[in-house]
Amino acid sequence: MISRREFLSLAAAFSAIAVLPAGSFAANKAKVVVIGGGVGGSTFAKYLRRKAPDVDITIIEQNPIYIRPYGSSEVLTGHIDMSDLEVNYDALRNKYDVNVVIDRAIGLDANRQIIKTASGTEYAYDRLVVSPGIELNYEKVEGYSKELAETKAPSGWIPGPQTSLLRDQIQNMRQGGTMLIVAPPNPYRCPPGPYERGALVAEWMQKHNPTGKVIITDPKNKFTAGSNFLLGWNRLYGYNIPMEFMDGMPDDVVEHSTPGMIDWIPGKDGGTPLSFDASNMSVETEGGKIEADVINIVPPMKAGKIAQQFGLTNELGWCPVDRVTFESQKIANVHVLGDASIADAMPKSGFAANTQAKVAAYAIAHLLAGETPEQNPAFENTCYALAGSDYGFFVSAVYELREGKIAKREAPGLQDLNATQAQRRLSAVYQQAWMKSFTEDSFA
Amino acid sequence: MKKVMILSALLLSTSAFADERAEIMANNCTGCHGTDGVVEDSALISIAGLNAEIFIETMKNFQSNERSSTIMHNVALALSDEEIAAMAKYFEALPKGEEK
Repeated sequence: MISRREFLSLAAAFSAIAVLPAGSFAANKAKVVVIGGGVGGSTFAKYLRRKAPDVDITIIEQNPIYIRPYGSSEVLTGHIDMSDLEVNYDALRNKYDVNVVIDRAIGLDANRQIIKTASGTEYAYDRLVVSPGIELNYEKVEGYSKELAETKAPSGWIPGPQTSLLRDQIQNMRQGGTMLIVAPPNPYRCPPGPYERGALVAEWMQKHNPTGKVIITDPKNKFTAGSNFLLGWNRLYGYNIPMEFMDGMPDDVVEHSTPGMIDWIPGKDGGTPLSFDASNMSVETEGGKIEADVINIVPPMKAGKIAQQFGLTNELGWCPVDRVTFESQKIANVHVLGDASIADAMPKSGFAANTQAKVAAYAIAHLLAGETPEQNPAFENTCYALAGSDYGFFVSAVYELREGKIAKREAPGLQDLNATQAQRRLSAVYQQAWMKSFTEDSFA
Repeated sequence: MKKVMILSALLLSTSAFADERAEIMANNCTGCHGTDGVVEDSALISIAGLNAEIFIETMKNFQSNERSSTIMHNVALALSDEEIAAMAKYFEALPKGEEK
């Protein structure tokens, strides 16, 4: 017995088979090539298909399976497995008729509008979308390198073998050991990420290594959702909130008489990292040397390598774009989405890439049809974060264009510090639901 | 009665909005509430096919905190009445999950 849904998807599959070969010979079809099948590229392809049924859409992606970075710190504590991070391209291929090619873009001929790949294939485009994510600048931390990140002091900021290595190091750490997280300077992917990671590891230690400790050393003096994190750490891990963050804190904040399981050293207190010493497993900071059993360095970042190679980046390593169409200000008919782009007030987050990609998809559909895109788009970012598995909060903002730049609309952007425990718990439940929903909205 | 009049006024005012702008605004909801407002097997709810007046009233209640929420208080406060009305109309017209 075949269900209606199965019948429909089978019918869709057959019609795709019947139509595709003819379609690929149709010379007059507009061609859109997307480099990078992450949240930005995949959401873009899905939503462009909804607006432009007749456009040829190709995604060129190096990896056959997408490993989502958001939520990947949950692997470190065994809350989820590496395989739980995997997202496939089945729906893009079968439901949205997107040609997902596993290959690597290596060359751009911007005059002829052609992309060349490692396999030797050439793809002509009317519009090219580059959504390459980030590249980690390991060498910006003296003494650190990609090789050391893969063997000794993982960054785990792009999920993969470094994530598993870091998990194993944390879980095999001696009792009473220290994990040191080196937080990056702005701007970087997933602003709450280093602090959520520290909190989740502290929570894991409460059960498995109760005399262990997490230290976060930081070049910055504040960070996203900082007050919510510090309050959560105070309640859960014995962290003492610095005086300058006490404004607006609820009455139940406790001054702990013993050191907590988590410590944060801001730049003004000497937290800025200077160098990494792999042989002594220590990090030299402006405030002195910190030795640790596990060292997790989240290095400075720039736009993914291909964006640099193609000449899409500015002197700071990010890609300037038009904020309506995300067309590069460097190369015509090439658009840049997600973390790699300069999106002003928007953070470098998966959710931000998702909403940018939808705006860009609609804009490019209009451009391909010779029409003017909607000039007044809106974007959103929503990000739930955890200070513990049952203790969540969020950042949220709606963005609009103001004088050609993306600006945040005036509204509260964080969970109220006086939120009830039930709301904190609810935010933790929604954190899991939100991650699933927005993955589906991007890929399924 | 007063409430009903305000709601009707909001619904009428949507004509000033291009349909695509409403859709672009609505696409900001679908990251959580699912593509076309339908989300399955989730703690989050589908909003496709939701009655427009209920949509608007719910957003007003999120703004005032009359209805408790996590992010929706902030999101609702960041949207104009016109935008909320346009999105309400947009989602009302979409088929509910089981009708798809």
